Amino acid sequence: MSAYTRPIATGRTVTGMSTAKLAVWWIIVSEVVIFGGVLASYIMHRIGHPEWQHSAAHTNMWIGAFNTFVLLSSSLSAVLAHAAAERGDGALAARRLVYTIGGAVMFLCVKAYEWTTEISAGFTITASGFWSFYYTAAGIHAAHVFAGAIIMGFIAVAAKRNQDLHRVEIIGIYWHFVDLVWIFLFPLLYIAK
Amino acid sequence: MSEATHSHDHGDHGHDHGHDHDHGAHGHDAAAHEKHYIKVWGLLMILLVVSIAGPILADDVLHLEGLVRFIVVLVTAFGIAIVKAQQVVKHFMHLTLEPKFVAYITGTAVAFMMLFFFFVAPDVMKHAGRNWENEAAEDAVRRGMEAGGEHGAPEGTTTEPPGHEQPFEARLEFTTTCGPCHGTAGGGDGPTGVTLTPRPASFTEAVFWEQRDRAHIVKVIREGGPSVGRSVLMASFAMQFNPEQIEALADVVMSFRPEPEPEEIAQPEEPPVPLEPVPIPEAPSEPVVEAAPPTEPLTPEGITEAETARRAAFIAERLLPASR
Amino acid sequence: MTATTADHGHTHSHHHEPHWAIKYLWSTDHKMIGMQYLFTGMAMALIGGYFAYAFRMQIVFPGEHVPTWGIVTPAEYNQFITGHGTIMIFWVAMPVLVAAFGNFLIPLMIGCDDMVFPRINRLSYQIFLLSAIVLIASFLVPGGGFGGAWTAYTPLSAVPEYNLTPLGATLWVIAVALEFIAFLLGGVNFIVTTMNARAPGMKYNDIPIVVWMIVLASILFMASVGPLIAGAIMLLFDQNLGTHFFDPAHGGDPLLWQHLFWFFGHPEVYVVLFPALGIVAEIITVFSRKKLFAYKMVLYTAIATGVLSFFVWAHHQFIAGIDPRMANVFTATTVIISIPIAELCFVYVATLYGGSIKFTVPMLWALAFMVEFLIGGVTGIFLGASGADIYFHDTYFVLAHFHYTFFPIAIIGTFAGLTYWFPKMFGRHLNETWGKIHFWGTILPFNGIFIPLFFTGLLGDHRRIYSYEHFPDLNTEWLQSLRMLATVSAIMMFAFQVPFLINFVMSAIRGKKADKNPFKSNTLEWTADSPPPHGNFPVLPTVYRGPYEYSHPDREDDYWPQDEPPKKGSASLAPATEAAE
Repeated sequence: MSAYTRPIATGRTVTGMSTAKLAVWWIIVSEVVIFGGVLASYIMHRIGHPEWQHSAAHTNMWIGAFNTFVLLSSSLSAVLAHAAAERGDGALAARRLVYTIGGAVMFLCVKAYEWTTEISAGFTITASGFWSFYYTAAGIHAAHVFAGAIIMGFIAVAAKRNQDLHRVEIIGIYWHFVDLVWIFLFPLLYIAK
Repeated sequence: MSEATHSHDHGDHGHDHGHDHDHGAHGHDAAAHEKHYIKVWGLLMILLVVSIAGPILADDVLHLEGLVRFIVVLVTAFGIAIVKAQQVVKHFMHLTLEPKFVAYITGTAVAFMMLFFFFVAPDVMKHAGRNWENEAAEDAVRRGMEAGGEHGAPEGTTTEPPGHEQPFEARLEFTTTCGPCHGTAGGGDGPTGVTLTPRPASFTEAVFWEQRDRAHIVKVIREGGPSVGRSVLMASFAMQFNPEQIEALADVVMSFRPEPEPEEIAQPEEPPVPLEPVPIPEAPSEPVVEAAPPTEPLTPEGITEAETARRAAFIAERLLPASR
Repeated sequence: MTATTADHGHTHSHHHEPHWAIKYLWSTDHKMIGMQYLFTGMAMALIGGYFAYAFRMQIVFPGEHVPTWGIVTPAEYNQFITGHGTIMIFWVAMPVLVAAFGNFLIPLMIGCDDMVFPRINRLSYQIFLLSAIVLIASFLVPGGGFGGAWTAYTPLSAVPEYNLTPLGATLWVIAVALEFIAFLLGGVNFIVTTMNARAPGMKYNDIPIVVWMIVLASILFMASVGPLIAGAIMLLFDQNLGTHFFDPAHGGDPLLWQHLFWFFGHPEVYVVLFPALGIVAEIITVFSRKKLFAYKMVLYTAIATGVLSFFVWAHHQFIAGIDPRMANVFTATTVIISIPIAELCFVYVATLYGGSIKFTVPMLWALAFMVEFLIGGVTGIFLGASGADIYFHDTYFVLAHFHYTFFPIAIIGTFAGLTYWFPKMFGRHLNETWGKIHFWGTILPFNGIFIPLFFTGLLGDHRRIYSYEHFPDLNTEWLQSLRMLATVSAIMMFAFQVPFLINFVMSAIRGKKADKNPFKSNTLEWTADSPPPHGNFPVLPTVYRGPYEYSHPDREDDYWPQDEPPKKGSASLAPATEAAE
């Protein structure tokens, strides 16, 4: 499909914001209600089912805290990548995006290890209502981490060539949102015992 | 995160270095902001530590209880989450630098989620209200709290047998659950049952009992029709009733049996009498089909003329004495 | 930087003609994607309509052979009513009204050369097509299609032993989830394009109402579908992994599904209503040569309705066991939400009043919309009152009410839009006479279907019943004759769609060629060729006024295109400066 050329419409900015940034904020609006739906449903059940504390006692707060640390730090590298991109330094931005992706990979690996331990201890998704929500909510979040890392990879590759540097900020905004969701998931799933 | 090696100026604010800033609404010097971002990150780390330390402090050090503990955990875990979120939104996502409508649309989305929560929680979070009670949920809570003492043992997937506090009204349960198909008198003629193909079993006919016994009945209730090679229309009720309750229901079914049984129906509260396993004549006239997969269509061929006529006659005779 | 200086140049007129496979199957052009959505939606409408034929035949001739199908078994009956509802809402109303018209019209009406994200646009259609294929597959798998109604209440939908269609139920959920994702992607495109890519000079209040309505619909969809996506995932897990999100004995709650569903379900009806209202607004202004009576009021009312629509959802659950005090709240909000819609109706009437009305086929459809939707709206008041709803719920009264709203939206609105924009889309005119025959042959039988069903509902006919033979108090001659009248009207209505299809195809191939602006309309799409080429406008337009300047006293012509530059020194609306909004 080499004949594709970007339309003029994409470059217009009647609102003062680039179309990419406007789009990512609207995407975040839709994601707020998706995760909001999951979390609201979870909270309702959690409060109504005090017996779930017995299941919740088995989540590992230290692993959760470590993952929180990883994601917060990856948000830092993402915003630093944005700072570099703003200066026009594509190579540095790409490097910092790679650090962010590294954070994502570490997050997913830790999660994989965590879930493997929990599943082999018998805490499967059907073990109780708590665990069903635990895997579902964290799973949807992890899927967003995964997808975000992939897209970030493409943007990093282009940034290295100093192309489309404005996209570094865009993927950063998405990434911060994914981090935000985890900031709320962490106390809900790991601290509230 | 190797910014230590960079030597960009940190001192300039508010001027760009001549680069075109055709994206983003601010033209501040990005290098100066890098230090700022790291400071924010540091704050986030401190908040993270506090949010973990709070509950540990509350539980293991201060041994707080009740409301005080709840408030401490609420503030440190959740309150801090909100603060962390605000920091990320403001400093990393630069929400305050975007046009106002961005904050409005995201704020509206959050508001809708609160709306959803507060309007749905009265039905889902609570388990009893005026004139209603979610007994199944209350049961689940009670069972979970009782079983909770043993840490490390996850709950199983099947219903745990409840305590003996709630009397299980077997006959009432039969009427409401089984009656619509099998009829309140067990004749296979319930209002729903007459529309089904094949028809539900009638427990009042001797021929039904020629090759079935109590163990068979228990099995069918628990595992459904396909477990004995019959129609999928008979669902499995293992998820709805525990083994005790199934035994009680089987007693009710046995009570419809035409020949008088030597053993009378057991009281619901008595533990079920374990029967000798009566060998079910599996093979001869009743080819036990490999449990018809639940994916089989409902009616094999459709309704034949003879069946239509039979139904019309049945209706005329039993249900519509006056009309037609 | 607003990049507008580059706009007044040419668009991609140097494009070479792509290979036919690329052009029809892999296009990023918004017009082609709009057509793809349109034709997919129309094809699905045939399937959904056929299902309706089959189950209506079963109801009036219970247990008998239905021509072209055979005997309808109870499981098939459930599959038909489920499929009919699901298809008509998600695979006909939404793709045609929102995606097809939105894709085709928005870039043209705001004066740019394509959507801002053409490749994501293409992706959204491909995901949508996949969802349609998955849904059709669900009817063909062993066990048959899902039969638990389009509302898919749990535990019936969650437990395969209850619904007896494990594969069908799972595929149904997956199809719906894919469709949601397609529309989320498409919606972002519409919103961002409209906000950012408008022609210079087009302020927010110069945007044609239909574009506003489609954008508002996209926003409404985006804000409401999230919880249901969460719920769909939970339902999928319940069906296939053995979780118990909706099983109270294990800590779940079936009522949660209902709330998740209807929190989306109610805004959804406004998602499809708004584009139809927009289409009607465009048509009545053009064919009465009159300005829209109160543009800002229409806009703010629509926004208010959209917000209010988030506060009414539990009126679908009045007798599901919700807290009765909540029922009071929802009764109040439901009755309140009828006010802005009524006000919109008044605005449309005021627009027509004193106009020079031409009863073209699009105008007929637009007027029919107003009349029929009014009937649907007022019957909704009865249902919104929780006390009355205790009787009405799950009867055919509800069904007749929502068909009197949905049918105007999805069918009348679609035909209005299609007959109006056909010349622009295909470069030729539809035959007007056959259009009128189709119109009357649809509208009159439509009323013949659903007026009787109001009465059967009042007399107690339950919904979703395979056969009334076993309900003594419903198995009466009078009720049966009402049902027969409804079914016969339905068959007549289906028959009258044939002339439309023939008209559509023949006119597209060899109808009378159309000029750029046969109806003398103001909006920008009528300044492009019929049909517009890739890139839409050789020179991207600049806008100088609003879209409804018809019969302006200062003008000789009774219309004033948006892009016509003002004459020097004339007392016209000042040309807008560079657009920052």
